[in-house]
Amino acid sequence: MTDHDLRHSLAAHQIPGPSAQARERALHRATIALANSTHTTSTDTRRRSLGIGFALSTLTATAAIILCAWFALRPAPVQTATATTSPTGGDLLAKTGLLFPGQLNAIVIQDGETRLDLSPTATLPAPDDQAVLVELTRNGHTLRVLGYSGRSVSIEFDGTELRFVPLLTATGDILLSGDNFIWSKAEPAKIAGWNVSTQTLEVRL
Amino acid sequence: MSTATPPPILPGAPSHESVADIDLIPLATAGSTDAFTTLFNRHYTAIHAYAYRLCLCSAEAEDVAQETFIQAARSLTSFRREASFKNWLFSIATNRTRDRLRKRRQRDRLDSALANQPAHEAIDHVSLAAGALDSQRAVQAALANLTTDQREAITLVYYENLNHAEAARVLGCAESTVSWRLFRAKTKLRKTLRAHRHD
Repeated sequence: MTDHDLRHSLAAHQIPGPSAQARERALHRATIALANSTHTTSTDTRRRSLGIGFALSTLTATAAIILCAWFALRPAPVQTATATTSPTGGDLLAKTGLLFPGQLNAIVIQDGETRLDLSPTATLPAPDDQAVLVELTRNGHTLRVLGYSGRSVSIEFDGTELRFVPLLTATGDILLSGDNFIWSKAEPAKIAGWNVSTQTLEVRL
Repeated sequence: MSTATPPPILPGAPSHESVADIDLIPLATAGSTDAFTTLFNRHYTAIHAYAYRLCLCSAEAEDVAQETFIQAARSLTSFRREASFKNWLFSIATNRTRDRLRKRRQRDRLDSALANQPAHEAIDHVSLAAGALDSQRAVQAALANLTTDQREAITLVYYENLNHAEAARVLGCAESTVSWRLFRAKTKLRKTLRAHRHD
């Protein structure tokens, strides 16, 4: 038997048509299902809209509360700002200096916490002082110091105080001058176990 | 492929008759009974015929066709344009039929029911010459000898003129699977029909 013969045999197979009652019943029930489905869909849409509206309101209220809490509880702007090696570190230093005229020696960022090193009394401002970044790392800890050339910086870590003065040389290098050490890029000795790196900061204000 | 009696067309919306399925679906989804009725009238006979060839039973075919359109009405919003509306209906009908046959099989009656299916059931509705009647019975018996998978493949490809890829999408299997089922089905049909001719 060829494929043609097979097709011919199958084509000759007639089937009974559906009864009119069955057809009518099927249409009737399907139409009811459609109506219910449409109703359910529109109800769902309304519910979804209400749900979305409620969710948006909740989200907005939550965001407002968080913002209010953040504004109320945030530390001083200088302390929340992140000092990085980017040029904006210089801007941050300059802006903070405007808040504490003549008092700001440095901004110290220690393991994510920010602290200001302020002089007890205001000294004459030195607008030409070069802003510098001193980065100290030891045992996974990082200290970032945003300071000025020529202004003393005091850092406390694990009960030990480290004092130094960053100094910008005529060649553009930075020295760290302490009570009993001098650090430079040319002689990058560790200071109390700290690895040191320095760079100048750009102030664009 | 013919059916015995042309089914009566139920009242729909004449204005929708020339509208393509794909354009009627959004109307029906929006709640237009006329649009849905047009879709129903357009495809009910084919779905019933398909269901009949899978079940080989008039009552089951009517039930499957009805369930298919109820399911389609409920799921119309989930219809994607990846397949034609008709092929989507075939998919639903396939699943509904499988459910029914599975239940029948669970009752351990499927094979015997199909094997003992009175061939004259399909022919009660039509008047055929004796030779043709005999041929009808032979094809009916041959189809009943196929597995459900094979009948699905034969029906979609030989009766509904779907290509193997379309049939595979309807059946939810690989194209090669459809081809293999067709090969097996044709082998079995040839054997059965040849034996009938020699009798």
